[in-house]
Amino acid sequence: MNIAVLVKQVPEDLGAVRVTGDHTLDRSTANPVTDPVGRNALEAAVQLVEAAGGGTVTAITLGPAGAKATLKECVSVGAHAGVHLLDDGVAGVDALGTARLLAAAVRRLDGVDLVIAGTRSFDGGSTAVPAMVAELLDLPSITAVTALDAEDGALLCTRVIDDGHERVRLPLPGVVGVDEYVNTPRYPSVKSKLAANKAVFEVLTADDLGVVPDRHATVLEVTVPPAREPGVRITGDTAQDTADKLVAALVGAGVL
Amino acid sequence: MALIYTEEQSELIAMVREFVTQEIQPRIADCDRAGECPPDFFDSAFEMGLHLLEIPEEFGGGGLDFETTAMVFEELGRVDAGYAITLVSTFVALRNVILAGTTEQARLFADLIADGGLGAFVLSEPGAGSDAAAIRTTAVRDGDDWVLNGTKTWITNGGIARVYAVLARTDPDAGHRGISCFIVETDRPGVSWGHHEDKCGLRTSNTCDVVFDEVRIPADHLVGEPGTGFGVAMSGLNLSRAFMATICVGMMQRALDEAARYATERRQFGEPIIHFQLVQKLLADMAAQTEAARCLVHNTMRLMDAGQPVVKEGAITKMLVTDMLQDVVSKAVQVFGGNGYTKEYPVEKLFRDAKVFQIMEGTNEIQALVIGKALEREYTA
Repeated sequence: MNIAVLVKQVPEDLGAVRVTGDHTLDRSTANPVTDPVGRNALEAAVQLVEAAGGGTVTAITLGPAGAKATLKECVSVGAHAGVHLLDDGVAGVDALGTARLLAAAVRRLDGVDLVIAGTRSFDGGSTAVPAMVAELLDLPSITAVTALDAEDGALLCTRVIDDGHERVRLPLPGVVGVDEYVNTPRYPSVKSKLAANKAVFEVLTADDLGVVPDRHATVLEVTVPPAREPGVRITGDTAQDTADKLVAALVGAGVL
Repeated sequence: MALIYTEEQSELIAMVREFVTQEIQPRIADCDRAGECPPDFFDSAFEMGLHLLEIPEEFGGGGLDFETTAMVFEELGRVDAGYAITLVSTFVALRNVILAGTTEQARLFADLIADGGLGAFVLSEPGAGSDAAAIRTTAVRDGDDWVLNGTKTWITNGGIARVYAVLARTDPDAGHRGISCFIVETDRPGVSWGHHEDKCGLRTSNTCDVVFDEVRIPADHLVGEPGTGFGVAMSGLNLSRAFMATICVGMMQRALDEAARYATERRQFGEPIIHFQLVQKLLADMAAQTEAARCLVHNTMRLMDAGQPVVKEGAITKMLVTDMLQDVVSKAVQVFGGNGYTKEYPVEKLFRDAKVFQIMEGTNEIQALVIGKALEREYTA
């Protein structure tokens, strides 16, 4: 089974991201890390390939030069190859533009049976990209997946719906968006971590992919949510003292 | 932090920090209370190769240099000294066999633990602690075998290791030149161990008596030449002393982190206690000692990476760092006040764990003797 995994870097702490005058995000003050749900997507791919007894996992990321660290991380936990879509001209591209670039990169790979991504990224969180990629590749897709098993050329996917769980059979090739509950990503070994430092990745621009990075969405305004009122910390010298103060505070607030 | 790391080292440290903080730290309080770790406790460490970091790749290790290995073990020490020591003891035992034995012997030892197993260096006896040459466990040649008899004590990993490097007397009349080193698989008939010591601190590290009763081991399990075991033990101790000091630096950093954080939260006289200069003085002393200890440890590691003997430097590092550790953890408890004396806060455990480092791997009094002897040789030569 050959699987392409779409994974990206996100700010570790969204609180460290600044909104700039032209409504884009300045991430330079935030520590970049691999999107946690992207790690789940990669783990799901590696487990499927391991269970199939063969195949390849190719990680694809769209991002600045530093995003190479994410590809290295993917290789250290089981990806066989990585593709870096690196192009300053597409910085800040919208969801459809992102999907067009990613779909073009998937199309260049031979015999992809499955594309896996996180359903909702930690930063943008539009949940649009996996389904858009599927549409552009003319493949069936399912998102919000919390469990998946390979079965005779298809995937049995479980996802949470409002009143329970839903089991969906996805014929392959197809596109899956996973949630963070789908698995627990493995840690790299020291050896695989060091080996990943030597990995060489294919680097492609929008031009290489034949994609014109036109923008369909225009951000008119970005606002930071108003700061919440700080809570009240109640501490006492003993547990009894703390409890007494808590009760007094609740009575004072009219809750009790 | 006073050190400059390569990108590779930074990434490795970050990976290990995430692992121990998320996977190991939440389980430590229960293990500490119980005085032992569940059997699966080291499985993830094995998968990551943390037990064989500095072992050459040909023996299944990570092939890291000593200094980078020390950076990783500082992270492990920060979370739990006992966890770190369990892994250090494993690679030190194998390192001894690599240094003194044949490639086949090193492979024999490594193959038993590479895929997930612990090793132990079996030296101390009831009558042979600081006086390591007073070993009474015997190994007697019988046909193609050696037959081991004797009792060892205070053996780190004694009850959980798959394989030991054992020091035993092969010549009763030759003093320290009558001691030899043997590879002993722990499933051999006649190998048994006593109860795990109910220690004040370092309770997640397995420590017990080991008994050899007519244990037959093949002749090819003798590491190096007969009578060279004491030298193996001393070089092993140099290595383990340096790594004990690394773990201590991790504990010091943890004590500083916890104390400084607490000082920003704890309020007295209407403000956080970190505003008070006498509290700042405690924290400043802790920070200074931690940085100094770290630099000392890393210099010793660099010397070892350069193939230099570190008899004196290792002893200096072990003695100074473990002494500074006592002061740092004590000051951490002081910053926490009464809370620091309770099991609810992590500095109480650091306080208990710290003491034994002045005792193990050669007491600090023995370190002073080693340093003194080295100076005597240097200045009378």
